[in-house]
Amino acid sequence: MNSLHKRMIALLALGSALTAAAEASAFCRATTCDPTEPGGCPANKQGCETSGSPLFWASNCVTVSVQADAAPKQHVDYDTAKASVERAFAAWMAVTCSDLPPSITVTVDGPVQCNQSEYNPDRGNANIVLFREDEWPYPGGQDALGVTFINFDPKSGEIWDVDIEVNAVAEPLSVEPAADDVDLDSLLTHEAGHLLGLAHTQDKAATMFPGYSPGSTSLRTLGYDDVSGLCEIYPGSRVTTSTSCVPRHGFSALCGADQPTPVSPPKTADDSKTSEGCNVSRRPQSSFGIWLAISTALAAFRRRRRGFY
Amino acid sequence: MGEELAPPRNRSGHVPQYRHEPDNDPSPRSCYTRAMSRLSRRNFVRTAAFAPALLVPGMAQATLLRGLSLRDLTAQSRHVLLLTPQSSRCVSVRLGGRPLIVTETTARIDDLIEKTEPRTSTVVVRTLGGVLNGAGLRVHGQAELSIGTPCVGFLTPGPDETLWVTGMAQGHFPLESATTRILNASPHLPELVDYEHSGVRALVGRELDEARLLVKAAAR
Repeated sequence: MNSLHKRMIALLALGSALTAAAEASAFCRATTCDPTEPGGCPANKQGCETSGSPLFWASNCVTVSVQADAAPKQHVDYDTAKASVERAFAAWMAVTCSDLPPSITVTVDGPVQCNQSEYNPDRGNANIVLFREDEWPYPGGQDALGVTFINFDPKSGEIWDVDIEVNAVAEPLSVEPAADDVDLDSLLTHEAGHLLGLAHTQDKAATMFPGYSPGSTSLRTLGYDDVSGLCEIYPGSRVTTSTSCVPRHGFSALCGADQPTPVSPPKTADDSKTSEGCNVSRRPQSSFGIWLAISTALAAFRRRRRGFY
Repeated sequence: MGEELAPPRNRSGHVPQYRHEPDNDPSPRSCYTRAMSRLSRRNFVRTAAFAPALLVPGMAQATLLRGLSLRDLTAQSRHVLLLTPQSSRCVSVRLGGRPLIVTETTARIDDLIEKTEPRTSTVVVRTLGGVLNGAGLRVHGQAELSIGTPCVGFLTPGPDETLWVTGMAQGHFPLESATTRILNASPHLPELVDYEHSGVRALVGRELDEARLLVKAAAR
Protein backbone atom coordinates (compact mmCIF):
# COMPACT_ATOMS: atom_id res chain seq x y z
CA MET A 1 0.00 0.00 0.00
CA ASN A 2 1.66 3.22 -1.08
CA SER A 3 1.45 6.65 0.55
CA LEU A 4 -1.43 7.77 -1.72
CA HIS A 5 -3.52 4.85 -0.56
CA LYS A 6 -2.73 5.62 3.05
CA ARG A 7 -3.72 9.23 2.62
CA MET A 8 -6.95 8.26 0.86
CA ILE A 9 -7.83 5.84 3.66
CA ALA A 10 -7.13 8.51 6.24
CA LEU A 11 -9.41 10.93 4.37
CA LEU A 12 -12.16 8.33 4.12
CA ALA A 13 -11.87 7.51 7.81
CA LEU A 14 -12.11 11.19 8.67
CA GLY A 15 -15.15 11.57 6.43
CA SER A 16 -16.83 8.58 8.04
CA ALA A 17 -16.13 9.91 11.50
CA LEU A 18 -17.53 13.31 10.63
CA THR A 19 -20.62 11.73 9.12
CA ALA A 20 -21.16 9.56 12.16
CA ALA A 21 -20.73 12.54 14.43
CA ALA A 22 -23.27 14.52 12.45
CA GLU A 23 -25.71 11.62 12.61
CA ALA A 24 -25.25 11.24 16.32
CA SER A 25 -26.33 14.79 17.04
CA ALA A 26 -28.97 15.30 14.37
CA PHE A 27 -32.12 14.33 16.27
CA CYS A 28 -34.24 17.02 17.86
CA ARG A 29 -36.43 16.91 20.92
CA ALA A 30 -39.72 18.74 21.04
CA THR A 31 -39.65 21.49 23.63
CA THR A 32 -41.98 23.70 25.61
CA CYS A 33 -40.87 26.68 23.53
CA ASP A 34 -43.63 29.24 23.31
CA PRO A 35 -43.78 30.72 19.79
CA THR A 36 -45.27 33.91 21.17
CA GLU A 37 -42.08 34.68 23.05
CA PRO A 38 -40.02 37.52 21.62
CA GLY A 39 -37.69 36.01 19.02
CA GLY A 40 -39.96 33.01 18.55
CA CYS A 41 -38.42 29.58 18.98
CA PRO A 42 -34.76 29.89 17.97
CA ALA A 43 -33.16 26.81 16.44
CA ASN A 44 -29.58 25.59 16.06
CA LYS A 45 -27.90 24.41 12.85
CA GLN A 46 -29.62 21.05 13.11
CA GLY A 47 -32.99 22.81 13.20
CA CYS A 48 -33.53 21.86 16.86
CA GLU A 49 -35.26 24.38 19.07
CA THR A 50 -32.89 25.74 21.67
CA SER A 51 -35.31 27.35 24.09
CA GLY A 52 -37.78 25.75 26.47
CA SER A 53 -37.61 22.44 28.30
CA PRO A 54 -37.54 19.16 26.36
CA LEU A 55 -40.78 17.19 26.39
CA PHE A 56 -40.91 13.77 28.05
CA TRP A 57 -43.25 11.26 29.66
CA ALA A 58 -42.67 11.18 33.40
CA SER A 59 -43.98 7.64 33.81
CA ASN A 60 -42.23 4.62 32.38
CA CYS A 61 -45.51 3.41 30.89
CA VAL A 62 -47.92 5.03 28.41
CA THR A 63 -51.20 3.64 27.14
CA VAL A 64 -52.41 4.35 23.63
CA SER A 65 -55.95 3.64 22.44
CA VAL A 66 -57.39 3.33 18.97
CA GLN A 67 -60.62 4.92 17.79
CA ALA A 68 -63.27 2.21 17.54
CA ASP A 69 -64.55 3.32 14.15
CA ALA A 70 -61.10 3.42 12.49
CA ALA A 71 -61.40 4.23 8.77
CA PRO A 72 -64.07 2.02 7.16
CA LYS A 73 -64.16 4.02 3.92
CA GLN A 74 -60.48 3.29 3.50
CA HIS A 75 -61.08 -0.37 4.36
CA VAL A 76 -59.05 0.04 7.54
CA ASP A 77 -61.09 -1.58 10.29
CA TYR A 78 -60.33 -1.43 14.01
CA ASP A 79 -58.28 -4.61 14.10
CA THR A 80 -56.16 -3.50 11.15
CA ALA A 81 -55.66 -0.08 12.68
CA LYS A 82 -54.76 -1.48 16.09
CA ALA A 83 -52.28 -3.93 14.61
CA SER A 84 -50.67 -1.07 12.69
CA VAL A 85 -50.43 1.05 15.85
CA GLU A 86 -48.86 -1.90 17.68
CA ARG A 87 -46.26 -2.38 14.97
CA ALA A 88 -45.46 1.33 14.98
CA PHE A 89 -44.73 1.41 18.70
CA ALA A 90 -43.04 -2.01 18.62
CA ALA A 91 -40.42 -0.48 16.32
CA TRP A 92 -39.59 2.09 18.98
CA MET A 93 -39.80 -0.35 21.88
CA ALA A 94 -37.33 -2.71 20.18
CA VAL A 95 -34.57 -0.18 20.72
CA THR A 96 -31.84 -0.85 23.24
CA CYS A 97 -30.00 1.95 24.99
CA SER A 98 -26.55 0.83 26.17
CA ASP A 99 -27.78 -2.77 26.41
CA LEU A 100 -30.83 -1.72 28.40
CA PRO A 101 -34.39 -1.27 27.16
CA PRO A 102 -35.57 2.34 27.04
CA SER A 103 -37.17 3.43 30.27
CA ILE A 104 -40.60 3.64 28.71
CA THR A 105 -43.06 1.08 27.44
CA VAL A 106 -46.14 1.72 25.35
CA THR A 107 -49.21 -0.43 25.72
CA VAL A 108 -51.96 -0.44 23.12
CA ASP A 109 -55.37 -0.64 24.68
CA GLY A 110 -58.82 -1.55 23.39
CA PRO A 111 -61.10 0.67 21.31
CA VAL A 112 -62.34 4.07 22.46
CA GLN A 113 -65.50 5.77 21.34
CA CYS A 114 -64.01 9.27 21.53
CA ASN A 115 -63.15 10.54 18.06
CA GLN A 116 -61.55 13.82 19.09
CA SER A 117 -58.02 14.70 20.01
CA GLU A 118 -58.43 16.53 23.27
CA TYR A 119 -56.96 16.91 26.72
CA ASN A 120 -59.39 17.18 29.61
CA PRO A 121 -57.85 18.97 32.59
CA ASP A 122 -60.68 17.87 34.87
CA ARG A 123 -61.89 14.56 33.43
CA GLY A 124 -60.61 11.26 32.15
CA ASN A 125 -58.36 11.09 29.12
CA ALA A 126 -57.00 8.70 26.54
CA ASN A 127 -54.06 8.94 24.18
CA ILE A 128 -55.92 8.22 20.98
CA VAL A 129 -55.00 7.32 17.44
CA LEU A 130 -57.97 8.46 15.41
CA PHE A 131 -58.94 8.71 11.76
CA ARG A 132 -60.74 11.55 10.04
CA GLU A 133 -62.52 10.39 6.90
CA ASP A 134 -65.21 13.00 6.30
CA GLU A 135 -63.59 16.32 7.03
CA TRP A 136 -60.16 17.58 8.02
CA PRO A 137 -61.07 20.38 10.42
CA TYR A 138 -57.80 22.33 10.39
CA PRO A 139 -57.92 25.26 7.97
CA GLY A 140 -54.90 25.38 5.71
CA GLY A 141 -53.73 21.96 6.88
CA GLN A 142 -55.58 19.71 4.45
CA ASP A 143 -52.30 18.53 2.97
CA ALA A 144 -50.96 16.99 6.17
CA LEU A 145 -51.07 13.20 6.11
CA GLY A 146 -51.11 13.03 9.89
CA VAL A 147 -50.92 15.40 12.82
CA THR A 148 -49.95 14.79 16.44
CA PHE A 149 -51.33 16.96 19.22
CA ILE A 150 -49.02 17.00 22.24
CA ASN A 151 -50.40 18.45 25.47
CA PHE A 152 -47.74 19.21 28.05
CA ASP A 153 -46.81 21.07 31.21
CA PRO A 154 -45.13 24.24 29.94
CA LYS A 155 -43.02 24.50 33.11
CA SER A 156 -41.52 21.03 33.32
CA GLY A 157 -42.00 19.66 29.82
CA GLU A 158 -43.90 16.65 31.15
CA ILE A 159 -46.21 15.28 28.48
CA TRP A 160 -49.78 14.94 29.72
CA ASP A 161 -51.68 13.62 26.74
CA VAL A 162 -51.02 12.93 23.07
CA ASP A 163 -53.46 12.24 20.27
CA ILE A 164 -52.56 11.28 16.72
CA GLU A 165 -54.91 12.17 13.89
CA VAL A 166 -54.62 10.42 10.55
CA ASN A 167 -55.89 12.35 7.53
CA ALA A 168 -57.99 9.75 5.73
CA VAL A 169 -60.00 12.30 3.80
CA ALA A 170 -58.05 12.43 0.58
CA GLU A 171 -55.11 10.02 0.59
CA PRO A 172 -55.55 6.25 0.13
CA LEU A 173 -54.31 4.47 3.27
CA SER A 174 -53.06 0.91 3.42
CA VAL A 175 -50.91 -1.41 5.47
CA GLU A 176 -49.81 -3.06 2.22
CA PRO A 177 -49.37 0.06 0.15
CA ALA A 178 -49.55 0.21 -3.61
CA ALA A 179 -47.56 2.85 -5.46
CA ASP A 180 -49.76 5.82 -4.57
CA ASP A 181 -50.96 4.67 -1.14
CA VAL A 182 -49.86 6.09 2.16
CA ASP A 183 -48.37 3.31 4.26
CA LEU A 184 -50.23 3.48 7.56
CA ASP A 185 -47.39 1.75 9.43
CA SER A 186 -44.87 4.32 8.18
CA LEU A 187 -47.11 7.23 9.03
CA LEU A 188 -47.85 5.92 12.52
CA THR A 189 -44.19 5.10 13.24
CA HIS A 190 -43.31 8.72 12.49
CA GLU A 191 -46.17 10.08 14.59
CA ALA A 192 -45.26 7.64 17.39
CA GLY A 193 -41.88 9.37 17.54
CA HIS A 194 -43.69 12.66 18.13
CA LEU A 195 -45.79 11.01 20.85
CA LEU A 196 -42.58 9.98 22.57
CA GLY A 197 -41.23 13.55 22.50
CA LEU A 198 -39.12 13.73 19.35
CA ALA A 199 -39.32 16.56 16.86
CA HIS A 200 -38.37 16.45 13.19
CA THR A 201 -34.77 15.79 12.27
CA GLN A 202 -32.66 16.76 9.27
CA ASP A 203 -31.24 13.25 9.00
CA LYS A 204 -32.88 11.97 5.84
CA ALA A 205 -32.33 8.36 6.86
CA ALA A 206 -34.40 8.75 10.02
CA THR A 207 -38.06 7.98 10.57
CA MET A 208 -38.37 11.41 12.18
CA PHE A 209 -37.25 13.08 8.97
CA PRO A 210 -40.44 14.76 7.76
CA GLY A 211 -40.32 13.19 4.34
CA TYR A 212 -42.24 10.27 2.93
CA SER A 213 -42.90 8.88 -0.54
CA PRO A 214 -46.35 7.35 -1.12
CA GLY A 215 -45.97 3.61 -1.52
CA SER A 216 -42.80 3.51 0.53
CA THR A 217 -42.49 1.52 3.75
CA SER A 218 -39.12 2.98 4.67
CA LEU A 219 -40.28 4.90 7.74
CA ARG A 220 -41.27 1.63 9.43
CA THR A 221 -37.59 1.01 10.15
CA LEU A 222 -35.90 3.34 12.60
CA GLY A 223 -32.67 5.03 11.75
CA TYR A 224 -29.63 5.42 13.99
CA ASP A 225 -30.70 9.01 14.62
CA ASP A 226 -34.13 7.89 15.88
CA VAL A 227 -32.53 5.40 18.25
CA SER A 228 -30.17 8.05 19.60
CA GLY A 229 -33.07 10.42 20.20
CA LEU A 230 -35.20 7.87 22.02
CA CYS A 231 -32.28 6.81 24.20
CA GLU A 232 -31.51 10.39 25.15
CA ILE A 233 -35.06 10.95 26.37
CA TYR A 234 -35.55 7.55 27.96
CA PRO A 235 -32.18 6.05 28.89
CA GLY A 236 -32.44 2.63 30.46
CA SER A 237 -31.00 4.01 33.69
CA ARG A 238 -33.64 6.74 34.05
CA VAL A 239 -35.31 6.83 37.45
CA THR A 240 -39.02 7.44 36.92
CA THR A 241 -41.39 8.91 39.44
CA SER A 242 -44.33 6.86 38.24
CA THR A 243 -44.99 3.43 36.82
CA SER A 244 -48.63 4.06 36.07
CA CYS A 245 -49.92 3.29 32.60
CA VAL A 246 -53.18 5.14 33.26
CA PRO A 247 -53.71 8.41 31.36
CA ARG A 248 -53.72 11.65 33.31
CA HIS A 249 -56.85 12.11 35.45
CA GLY A 250 -57.83 8.50 34.75
CA PHE A 251 -58.75 6.63 31.61
CA SER A 252 -61.93 7.35 29.73
CA ALA A 253 -63.04 5.91 26.42
CA LEU A 254 -65.45 8.82 26.08
CA CYS A 255 -64.73 12.36 24.98
CA GLY A 256 -64.81 14.97 27.71
CA ALA A 257 -68.22 16.28 26.71
CA ASP A 258 -69.73 12.79 27.05
CA GLN A 259 -68.25 12.10 30.47
CA PRO A 260 -70.12 12.81 33.70
CA THR A 261 -69.70 16.32 35.04
CA PRO A 262 -66.79 16.41 37.48
CA VAL A 263 -67.43 17.24 41.11
CA SER A 264 -64.82 19.99 41.18
CA PRO A 265 -65.25 22.97 38.90
CA PRO A 266 -63.22 22.95 35.69
CA LYS A 267 -59.84 24.64 35.81
CA THR A 268 -60.43 26.43 32.52
CA ALA A 269 -63.40 28.71 32.90
CA ASP A 270 -64.25 29.22 29.27
CA ASP A 271 -63.46 26.63 26.66
CA SER A 272 -65.72 28.12 24.05
CA LYS A 273 -63.52 30.90 22.76
CA THR A 274 -60.79 33.41 23.35
CA SER A 275 -59.64 32.90 26.89
CA GLU A 276 -56.55 34.99 26.46
CA GLY A 277 -53.04 34.07 27.48
CA CYS A 278 -49.36 34.25 26.64
CA ASN A 279 -49.49 37.82 25.40
CA VAL A 280 -45.97 38.97 24.63
CA SER A 281 -46.50 42.25 26.45
CA ARG A 282 -46.76 40.36 29.70
CA ARG A 283 -43.26 38.94 29.45
CA PRO A 284 -41.35 41.91 30.90
CA GLN A 285 -43.48 41.75 34.03
CA SER A 286 -42.66 38.12 34.66
CA SER A 287 -38.97 38.76 33.89
CA PHE A 288 -39.04 41.59 36.36
CA GLY A 289 -40.54 39.26 38.96
CA ILE A 290 -37.80 36.70 38.38
CA TRP A 291 -35.14 39.44 38.50
CA LEU A 292 -36.59 40.79 41.73
CA ALA A 293 -36.57 37.32 43.29
CA ILE A 294 -32.97 36.69 42.20
CA SER A 295 -31.87 40.12 43.50
CA THR A 296 -33.53 39.51 46.85
CA ALA A 297 -31.93 36.07 47.14
CA LEU A 298 -28.51 37.47 46.21
CA ALA A 299 -28.86 40.26 48.75
CA ALA A 300 -29.78 37.75 51.44
CA PHE A 301 -26.85 35.54 50.44
CA ARG A 302 -24.45 38.47 50.60
CA ARG A 303 -25.75 39.36 54.05
CA ARG A 304 -25.14 35.77 55.15
CA ARG A 305 -21.64 35.72 53.66
CA ARG A 306 -20.81 38.99 55.31
CA GLY A 307 -21.95 37.50 58.58
CA PHE A 308 -19.40 34.68 58.19
CA TYR A 309 -16.39 36.98 57.71
CA MET B 1 -54.76 -2.26 30.96
CA GLY B 2 -54.39 -3.50 27.41
CA GLU B 3 -51.70 -5.83 26.25
CA GLU B 4 -48.15 -4.65 26.47
CA LEU B 5 -46.05 -4.84 23.37
CA ALA B 6 -43.35 -7.42 23.77
CA PRO B 7 -40.56 -6.27 21.51
CA PRO B 8 -37.25 -8.06 21.22
CA ARG B 9 -35.07 -6.51 23.88
CA ASN B 10 -31.74 -7.61 22.46
CA ARG B 11 -30.72 -9.17 25.76
CA SER B 12 -29.88 -12.34 23.86
CA GLY B 13 -27.65 -10.59 21.43
CA HIS B 14 -30.30 -9.91 18.79
CA VAL B 15 -29.80 -6.51 17.25
CA PRO B 16 -32.74 -4.87 15.49
CA GLN B 17 -31.88 -3.70 11.98
CA TYR B 18 -31.72 0.06 12.03
CA ARG B 19 -30.86 2.05 8.98
CA HIS B 20 -27.44 3.67 9.17
CA GLU B 21 -26.48 2.13 12.48
CA PRO B 22 -22.69 2.40 12.48
CA ASP B 23 -22.36 -0.57 14.81
CA ASN B 24 -24.05 -2.75 12.19
CA ASP B 25 -21.52 -1.94 9.51
CA PRO B 26 -20.30 -5.37 8.35
CA SER B 27 -16.87 -4.31 7.17
CA PRO B 28 -14.20 -6.19 9.08
CA ARG B 29 -10.69 -4.99 8.39
CA SER B 30 -9.54 -8.23 6.77
CA CYS B 31 -12.17 -8.03 4.04
CA TYR B 32 -11.31 -4.41 3.46
CA THR B 33 -7.59 -5.10 3.19
CA ARG B 34 -8.25 -7.97 0.78
CA ALA B 35 -10.37 -5.73 -1.41
CA MET B 36 -7.75 -3.03 -1.29
CA SER B 37 -5.10 -5.38 -2.56
CA ARG B 38 -7.20 -6.03 -5.66
CA LEU B 39 -7.63 -2.34 -6.43
CA SER B 40 -5.38 -0.72 -8.92
CA ARG B 41 -4.30 2.81 -8.13
CA ARG B 42 -6.68 4.24 -10.76
CA ASN B 43 -9.64 2.23 -9.50
CA PHE B 44 -8.87 3.20 -5.97
CA VAL B 45 -8.91 6.90 -6.83
CA ARG B 46 -12.22 6.42 -8.67
CA THR B 47 -13.70 4.59 -5.70
CA ALA B 48 -12.47 7.24 -3.30
CA ALA B 49 -14.02 9.95 -5.44
CA PHE B 50 -17.45 8.32 -5.20
CA ALA B 51 -17.15 7.24 -1.57
CA PRO B 52 -18.49 10.49 -0.08
CA ALA B 53 -21.69 10.00 -2.08
CA LEU B 54 -22.08 6.55 -0.53
CA LEU B 55 -21.76 8.04 2.93
CA VAL B 56 -24.74 10.34 2.35
CA PRO B 57 -27.91 8.70 3.69
CA GLY B 58 -30.62 7.78 1.19
CA MET B 59 -33.16 10.49 0.74
CA ALA B 60 -36.85 10.05 1.38
CA GLN B 61 -38.46 11.71 -1.59
CA ALA B 62 -41.72 12.92 -0.17
CA THR B 63 -43.30 13.99 3.03
CA LEU B 64 -45.94 13.82 5.67
CA LEU B 65 -47.06 17.14 4.24
CA ARG B 66 -48.03 17.13 0.58
CA GLY B 67 -46.44 19.93 -1.39
CA LEU B 68 -48.70 22.47 -3.07
CA SER B 69 -47.82 23.93 -6.43
CA LEU B 70 -47.66 27.70 -6.59
CA ARG B 71 -50.91 27.64 -8.53
CA ASP B 72 -52.64 25.56 -5.82
CA LEU B 73 -51.07 27.56 -3.01
CA THR B 74 -52.42 30.73 -4.57
CA ALA B 75 -55.80 29.25 -5.50
CA GLN B 76 -56.39 27.98 -1.95
CA SER B 77 -55.58 31.39 -0.45
CA ARG B 78 -57.87 34.35 -0.01
CA HIS B 79 -55.00 36.77 0.56
CA VAL B 80 -51.34 36.74 -0.40
CA LEU B 81 -49.75 39.51 1.64
CA LEU B 82 -46.49 41.01 2.70
CA LEU B 83 -46.84 41.06 6.47
CA THR B 84 -44.92 42.11 9.54
CA PRO B 85 -46.04 40.25 12.67
CA GLN B 86 -46.53 42.72 15.50
CA SER B 87 -47.76 40.72 18.48
CA SER B 88 -49.14 37.33 19.35
CA ARG B 89 -51.21 35.70 22.02
CA CYS B 90 -52.63 32.27 22.70
CA VAL B 91 -56.35 31.62 22.90
CA SER B 92 -58.62 28.64 23.19
CA VAL B 93 -60.91 28.20 20.21
CA ARG B 94 -63.46 25.57 19.32
CA LEU B 95 -62.26 23.63 16.32
CA GLY B 96 -63.55 20.31 15.07
CA GLY B 97 -66.01 20.22 17.95
CA ARG B 98 -63.65 20.73 20.88
CA PRO B 99 -61.44 23.47 22.35
CA LEU B 100 -57.87 23.76 21.11
CA ILE B 101 -55.05 26.15 21.97
CA VAL B 102 -54.09 28.28 19.00
CA THR B 103 -51.64 31.15 18.58
CA GLU B 104 -53.11 34.32 17.14
CA THR B 105 -50.53 36.57 15.52
CA THR B 106 -51.52 40.12 14.68
CA ALA B 107 -49.60 41.28 11.63
CA ARG B 108 -49.38 44.61 9.89
CA ILE B 109 -50.22 44.47 6.18
CA ASP B 110 -47.28 46.03 4.34
CA ASP B 111 -48.39 45.19 0.82
CA LEU B 112 -50.85 43.15 -1.20
CA ILE B 113 -49.06 40.56 -3.31
CA GLU B 114 -52.11 38.93 -4.90
CA LYS B 115 -55.78 37.95 -4.42
CA THR B 116 -58.10 40.15 -2.39
CA GLU B 117 -56.99 42.96 -0.14
CA PRO B 118 -58.26 42.88 3.46
CA ARG B 119 -60.30 45.91 4.51
CA THR B 120 -58.18 46.42 7.60
CA SER B 121 -54.56 47.46 8.05
CA THR B 122 -53.79 44.37 10.11
CA VAL B 123 -54.76 40.71 9.98
CA VAL B 124 -54.91 38.09 12.70
CA VAL B 125 -53.38 34.78 11.63
CA ARG B 126 -53.97 31.57 13.55
CA THR B 127 -51.66 28.61 13.92
CA LEU B 128 -52.23 25.46 15.98
CA GLY B 129 -50.56 25.19 19.38
CA GLY B 130 -49.29 27.51 22.09
CA VAL B 131 -49.28 27.92 25.84
CA LEU B 132 -52.38 28.96 27.73
CA ASN B 133 -53.51 28.83 31.35
CA GLY B 134 -50.66 26.60 32.46
CA ALA B 135 -51.07 24.12 29.62
CA GLY B 136 -49.10 23.74 26.40
CA LEU B 137 -50.03 22.28 23.04
CA ARG B 138 -47.48 21.44 20.35
CA VAL B 139 -48.40 20.52 16.76
CA HIS B 140 -45.41 19.94 14.49
CA GLY B 141 -45.31 21.39 10.97
CA GLN B 142 -46.97 24.70 11.78
CA ALA B 143 -45.82 28.04 10.40
CA GLU B 144 -44.02 30.11 13.01
CA LEU B 145 -44.57 33.82 12.47
CA SER B 146 -41.71 35.54 14.22
CA ILE B 147 -42.49 38.96 15.68
CA GLY B 148 -40.87 41.75 13.68
CA THR B 149 -39.75 39.53 10.79
CA PRO B 150 -41.46 40.53 7.52
CA CYS B 151 -42.88 37.63 5.57
CA VAL B 152 -45.02 36.72 2.62
CA GLY B 153 -48.10 34.91 3.89
CA PHE B 154 -50.59 32.85 1.90
CA LEU B 155 -53.73 33.02 4.03
CA THR B 156 -56.88 30.97 3.88
CA PRO B 157 -60.10 31.51 5.84
CA GLY B 158 -61.36 29.06 8.43
CA PRO B 159 -65.02 28.24 8.98
CA ASP B 160 -65.52 31.32 11.15
CA GLU B 161 -63.66 33.57 8.69
CA THR B 162 -60.50 33.63 10.79
CA LEU B 163 -57.29 33.43 8.76
CA TRP B 164 -54.86 30.51 8.76
CA VAL B 165 -51.66 29.88 6.84
CA THR B 166 -52.35 27.91 3.66
CA GLY B 167 -50.56 24.55 3.61
CA MET B 168 -49.25 25.02 7.16
CA ALA B 169 -45.56 26.00 7.03
CA GLN B 170 -45.42 25.94 3.21
CA GLY B 171 -47.52 29.10 2.96
CA HIS B 172 -45.11 31.17 5.05
CA PHE B 173 -41.99 32.82 3.58
CA PRO B 174 -40.01 35.01 5.98
CA LEU B 175 -37.82 37.58 4.25
CA GLU B 176 -34.09 37.13 4.61
CA SER B 177 -33.76 40.80 5.56
CA ALA B 178 -35.67 44.01 5.05
CA THR B 179 -33.06 45.23 2.59
CA THR B 180 -32.42 42.18 0.41
CA ARG B 181 -36.09 41.10 0.59
CA ILE B 182 -35.31 37.52 -0.47
CA LEU B 183 -37.87 34.87 0.43
CA ASN B 184 -36.79 32.10 2.79
CA ALA B 185 -38.58 28.89 3.68
CA SER B 186 -40.51 28.71 6.96
CA PRO B 187 -38.20 27.58 9.79
CA HIS B 188 -39.84 24.20 10.40
CA LEU B 189 -40.94 23.41 6.88
CA PRO B 190 -40.97 19.65 6.25
CA GLU B 191 -39.60 18.10 3.06
CA LEU B 192 -42.32 18.29 0.43
CA VAL B 193 -43.78 15.76 -1.96
CA ASP B 194 -42.99 16.74 -5.52
CA TYR B 195 -40.75 19.53 -4.26
CA GLU B 196 -39.63 20.36 -7.81
CA HIS B 197 -43.14 21.54 -8.69
CA SER B 198 -43.99 23.09 -5.33
CA GLY B 199 -44.65 26.71 -4.52
CA VAL B 200 -41.82 26.54 -2.03
CA ARG B 201 -39.38 25.54 -4.80
CA ALA B 202 -40.71 28.35 -6.99
CA LEU B 203 -40.43 31.11 -4.39
CA VAL B 204 -37.61 30.39 -1.95
CA GLY B 205 -34.49 32.34 -2.89
CA ARG B 206 -36.43 34.81 -5.05
CA GLU B 207 -36.37 38.55 -4.50
CA LEU B 208 -39.74 39.89 -3.43
CA ASP B 209 -40.64 41.62 -6.72
CA GLU B 210 -39.67 38.53 -8.67
CA ALA B 211 -41.81 36.39 -6.36
CA ARG B 212 -44.70 38.80 -6.77
CA LEU B 213 -44.64 38.33 -10.57
CA LEU B 214 -44.61 34.55 -10.17
CA VAL B 215 -47.57 34.61 -7.78
CA LYS B 216 -49.52 36.92 -10.08
CA ALA B 217 -48.82 34.61 -13.01
CA ALA B 218 -49.92 31.59 -10.98
CA ALA B 219 -53.16 33.34 -10.05
CA ARG B 220 -54.21 33.83 -13.67
